[in-house]
Amino acid sequence: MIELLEYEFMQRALLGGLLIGVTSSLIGVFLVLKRLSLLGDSFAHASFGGIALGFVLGWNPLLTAFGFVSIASLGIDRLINKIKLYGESAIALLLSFGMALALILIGAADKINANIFSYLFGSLLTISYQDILFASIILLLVLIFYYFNYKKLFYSAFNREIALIRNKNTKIIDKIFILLCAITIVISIRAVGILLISALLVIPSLIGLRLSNSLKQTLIISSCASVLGIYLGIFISYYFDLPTGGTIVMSLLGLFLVSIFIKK
Amino acid sequence: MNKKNSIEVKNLSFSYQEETILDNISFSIEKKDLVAVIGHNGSGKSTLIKLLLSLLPSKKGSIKTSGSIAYIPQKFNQDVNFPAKVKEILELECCDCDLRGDVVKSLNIENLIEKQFKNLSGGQQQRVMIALSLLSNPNILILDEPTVGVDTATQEEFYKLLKKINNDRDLTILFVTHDTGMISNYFTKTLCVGNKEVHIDNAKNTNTLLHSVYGENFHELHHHHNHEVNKK
Repeated sequence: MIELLEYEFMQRALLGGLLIGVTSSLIGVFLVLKRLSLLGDSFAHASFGGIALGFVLGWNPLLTAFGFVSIASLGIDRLINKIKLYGESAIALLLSFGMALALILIGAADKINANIFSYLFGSLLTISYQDILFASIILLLVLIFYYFNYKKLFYSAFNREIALIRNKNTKIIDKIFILLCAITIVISIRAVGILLISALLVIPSLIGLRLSNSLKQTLIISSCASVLGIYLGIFISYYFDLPTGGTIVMSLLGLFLVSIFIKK
Repeated sequence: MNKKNSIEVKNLSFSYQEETILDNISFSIEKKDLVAVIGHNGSGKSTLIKLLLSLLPSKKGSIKTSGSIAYIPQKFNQDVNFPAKVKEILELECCDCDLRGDVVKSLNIENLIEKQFKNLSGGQQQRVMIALSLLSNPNILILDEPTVGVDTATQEEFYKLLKKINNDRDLTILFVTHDTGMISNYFTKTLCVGNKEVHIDNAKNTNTLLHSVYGENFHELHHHHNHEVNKK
């Protein structure tokens, strides 16, 4: 076990897991409370379009995806608030658009890097220092945003109508939150892949919601559960030679089952 | 603005997609009035409330209010399973203030502070929502049908509580309701929205007011309300 920690790739994976686990659960709790759990899926599929675009154009895939989902997050806000689509319909539109774009680009490109498939299923063990840098910056942004706007975000999740009356900038706060959510998802894809991203956003939040007595506790417990699940997944997948993404999600599900037994 | 008034509306009109909802309405509400706001579904009650709260822009006419307005929305718009402590929720409006103070005491929720919001009964949750709104020290409180789907005993308790807050805190209260039967017992004024107009009268004259606005259709208001309650 100790020897394992001496491998550089393992150190990177653990550091990346810590950063991604904390960020995604901080975002995930509010997504769940705002009844937007599936938005994660939608942004993940949109990022796949962005990543494919990056590969085809020879740009950095993650940076291209960041730009792509940022625009998508504004688009989804317009679809819901201006064009008055149902939330879940807008989410479905974006999801199909991102995936369709990715499929067309992959099909049209003559030689596409096989790496693109690591984004579909995730591969924390091959995470690069550049990814870790991105993950640190995003976590820092989320922490700064929460530090200054925690109450406003809380108010908006608790009762948006009252929040809109009490805080004139509630709409802006909500938009920034969705934007942060979008870029968090792009980096979280490194851990579990596009297909399982909802798990990373939702399961730790559900564990936190079960075991906590307050919203602050929920955020803390969710973050811990998320990192624990990711670490369990990394070690189990390493020892039994299993795919990391799937194993992480199974570990998180296991922790969720435990939380049900702890607090029936 | 007249010093006696807390709300003054002059020549206000509002249209939505070319349909006129409120047509050149003018009215004023005095400070400390306890007003029941009534009218059929779709009569423009909600539009009027949203205009007062500046959630909708008033393009024609003017709305003047003295001081700040707090708002308690319809019950089904509230996540009753929200996973926060009552204390955390009240702190949204109360940064350094004392949660053992006046508001919490008068609403009798001192022993709920450390409890989780989702574990409270409907009536207790309602009191927490009122406490939250009062902590912002409003001059006007607007409530949108908070008693729909609540049993009669809890409803009556709620009306008594409103009357007490209205008295103790010199607060102007607007209460949107379909329950016209109890208005004269608890309220001072009735504001009736119908036919794109607004009429205000003493709460004792609610029935006359309803007849003048809705004519023969007046009983539908009662009927509709009961139907809604039964569905819940």
